[in-house]
Amino acid sequence: MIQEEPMVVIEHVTKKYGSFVALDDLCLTLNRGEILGFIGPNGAGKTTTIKILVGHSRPTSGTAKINGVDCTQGASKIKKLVGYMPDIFGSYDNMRVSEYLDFFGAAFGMRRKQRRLRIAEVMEITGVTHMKDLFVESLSHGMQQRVGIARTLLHDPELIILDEPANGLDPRARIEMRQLLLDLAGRGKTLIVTSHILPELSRICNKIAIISHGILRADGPIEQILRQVNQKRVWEIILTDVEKLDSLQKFLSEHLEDEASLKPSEAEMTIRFQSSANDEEVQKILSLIVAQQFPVVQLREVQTDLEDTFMTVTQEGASQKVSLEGSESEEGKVHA
Amino acid sequence: MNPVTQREFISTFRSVRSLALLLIPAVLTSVLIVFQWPADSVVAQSGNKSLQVFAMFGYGLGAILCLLTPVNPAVSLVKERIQGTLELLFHTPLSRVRIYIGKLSGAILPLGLSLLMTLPAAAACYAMGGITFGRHLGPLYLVLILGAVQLSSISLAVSSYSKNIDSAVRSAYAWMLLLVVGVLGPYQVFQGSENQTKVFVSDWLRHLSPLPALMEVLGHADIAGHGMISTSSSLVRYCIVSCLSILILGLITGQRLHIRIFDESRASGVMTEDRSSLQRLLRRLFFLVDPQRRSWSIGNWTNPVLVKEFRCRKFGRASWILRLIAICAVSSIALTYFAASGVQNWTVEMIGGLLVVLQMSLIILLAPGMSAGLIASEIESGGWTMLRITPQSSFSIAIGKLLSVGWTMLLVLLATLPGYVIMIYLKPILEQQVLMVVASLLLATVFTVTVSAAIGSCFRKNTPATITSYSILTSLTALPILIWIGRDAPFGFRIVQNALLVNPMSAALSIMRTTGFEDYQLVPGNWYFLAAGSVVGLGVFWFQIHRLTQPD
Repeated sequence: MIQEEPMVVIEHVTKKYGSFVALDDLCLTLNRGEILGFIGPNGAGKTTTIKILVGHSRPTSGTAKINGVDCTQGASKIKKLVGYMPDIFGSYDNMRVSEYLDFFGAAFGMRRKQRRLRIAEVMEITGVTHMKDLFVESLSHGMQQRVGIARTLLHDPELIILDEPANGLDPRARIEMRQLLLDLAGRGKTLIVTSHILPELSRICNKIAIISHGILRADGPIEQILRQVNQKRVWEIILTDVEKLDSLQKFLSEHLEDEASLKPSEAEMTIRFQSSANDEEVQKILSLIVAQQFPVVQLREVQTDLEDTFMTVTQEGASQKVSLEGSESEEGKVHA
Repeated sequence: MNPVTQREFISTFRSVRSLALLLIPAVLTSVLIVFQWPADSVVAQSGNKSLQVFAMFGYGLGAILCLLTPVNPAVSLVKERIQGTLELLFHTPLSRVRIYIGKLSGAILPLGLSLLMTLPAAAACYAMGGITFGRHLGPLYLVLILGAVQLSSISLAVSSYSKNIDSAVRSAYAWMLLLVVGVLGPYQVFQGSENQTKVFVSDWLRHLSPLPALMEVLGHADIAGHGMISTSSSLVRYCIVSCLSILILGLITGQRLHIRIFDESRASGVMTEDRSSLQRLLRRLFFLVDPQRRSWSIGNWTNPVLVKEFRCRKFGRASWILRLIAICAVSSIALTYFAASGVQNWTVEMIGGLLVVLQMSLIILLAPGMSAGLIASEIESGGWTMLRITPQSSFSIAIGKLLSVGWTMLLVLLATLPGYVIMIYLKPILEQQVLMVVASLLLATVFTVTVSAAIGSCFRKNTPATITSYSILTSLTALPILIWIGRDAPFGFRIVQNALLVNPMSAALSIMRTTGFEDYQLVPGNWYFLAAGSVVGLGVFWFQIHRLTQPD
């Protein structure tokens, strides 16, 4: 069986601005048709990585390739392979939407006849046909985002890089955007999407990469990362009597491992704890709680999401003390 | 203290560039005085020498103020509007009067400081003798202060109507030119006419300009004033007219300082093609080029950057270019008509000189505004990032951008050709001269476009790019003329000749044998300078684009 070449391969890329290290030995691979959610706090190195991929920035060391083409050496080929939508719109005064798209189509070397058809097609895909005669600078932010995506799709790129596409969109537009991205993936496009709206990403991406302080903290399929980062499960006990909260906290601290963090909440009459205990161990603790006649109405496992994972990984990155053991599976990697 | 004044005034001192601008008048006038300071210990009792130096000092200061004043107030309101702080300002309890006074004083106070710094140079003139405070220094500073307030007021008014910074700066300079020079025109035409109303109105209109009053104070004949008897003082008239204009401009700007200027709906984008048959027919009749028609797709062999530059510029649209060409053509023919009618005893050479000045004014007014922002505005708006991801080469971008300005300027130049054609018809012997003048102007246009594009490409923001470009090119044009004004004294023939060699319009004036320029041999020296400057400008511009398209 012939294995398909990955669409994006970033190998040991380091980018320094003077003494400041923006990217530190970044390695990342993305296969065709995958949607990568590229997340990290502000200033983490996301935009620097994207700039290197689109050929706007030269790595200090390492290589980045798209479809086997070096991003620095093969700039002209990269421009045809990649559709890039930066976080700023880049509007021109006094230009109507149709003229704006016409300019970019011509700039990408599309013939006039083919361009006209393609413009109509991308306007239909992104839902901007009714805005074709409006001036781009007068559009609302959400409308501009749509036009920006239409512009990105014009030359039918294989890799689409979208920097914060959901920024400033209303809930309906956000849902439509999500559907649009899924449709693009359905057409076989590879997508890299950055966003601060993590629940959005978790719904559309099949792969995530978390970057912090220029270091890739985790990457791989979303479920794998969630499982690996959150190896300690979070449990919540709900009581009916607030006065028993202290005694239950004391009881739990005696029976759980030392690292289990206990968080009581008087207002909610709950105690949350994070523990590496397996199901049997938890069942034993529950039996003991019941035996001690604590007024418990519920014990449940709290599901962690991408936001929790992001917070865990980036906090560890910020303190430069990664508490997780560097673990690796076939698909997902959490970097120590 | 008015908080707006406080903020505007303090922000001036935070920028090194603004401080440098403040120092320019003091430095230049001091240098002038130092050069003209008598070398021997004997001073002529007549005071002629000191009056000559004082005249140079006055004109120089006036010219510098004209160049510097419009910049800050022109940017002031429109910048706040774009940044969104103007809306915040309207939501404070500050009244529009206080906001206006704050803005105006914020623009004038730094200029006041600039003028204060020129006092030592003025004192040096005074020390040379022949100059009194009551007749010379006081009136000079009064005219300069009133002129600064008047130009600041008009620039603020322009700023309140503008929607982007470069158009505000361009329009403010256009208004400045109209106010200082343009208003003198009607009196030139109507003086001596039998229609007394026309004479009266045009006489008062010319006093909107500080130039007649300045010339009177500096001991020269009041500009455009002919005859032996001066009926009234230009200074007094200027004080009255300028105060009135400041008040009117204040009212115009004041009524714009209201939250309703943000209460505008988005353009509906109704195109001619979508209108009814009757409306389409009417628009076909009234518009040579209908701005509401859908534009054609960019051709397969057309440079897309060139088309983009035309389309994203309001004055780049065909409808506006045609209007501009029409204005130029009408002005040139009108000027030539006056020569032909012989009413004013204007010679063909004088008309030719006026045409050259008109064309150069247009070139200096339009070219830096369009070329300086070619790269800077694109970087500032984020468009450059988008342009970089297209496969367009740096050469194609450079050519597209330069041609977009070049074509416009060429059309403006061509529009004035009818005037020259009539001149050749009136005096066929001038044909060779006129052709050389046109060649000179073409070269001057290329020089202005490439040099301002090169200057602008060194900046990442449009405002400093435009301002620097305007300052350098207007200085290149105005400073040699200032030196030319002092051609008999204090400057000698050689200094004036050398100064004129770097002036983009002097060769054309010299070829046209315009009064005062006949003695200078500027061709081919001036052409060599302009050609070399154009090549260097082109090289710098292309290099900058190439650098900006490479990975960081």
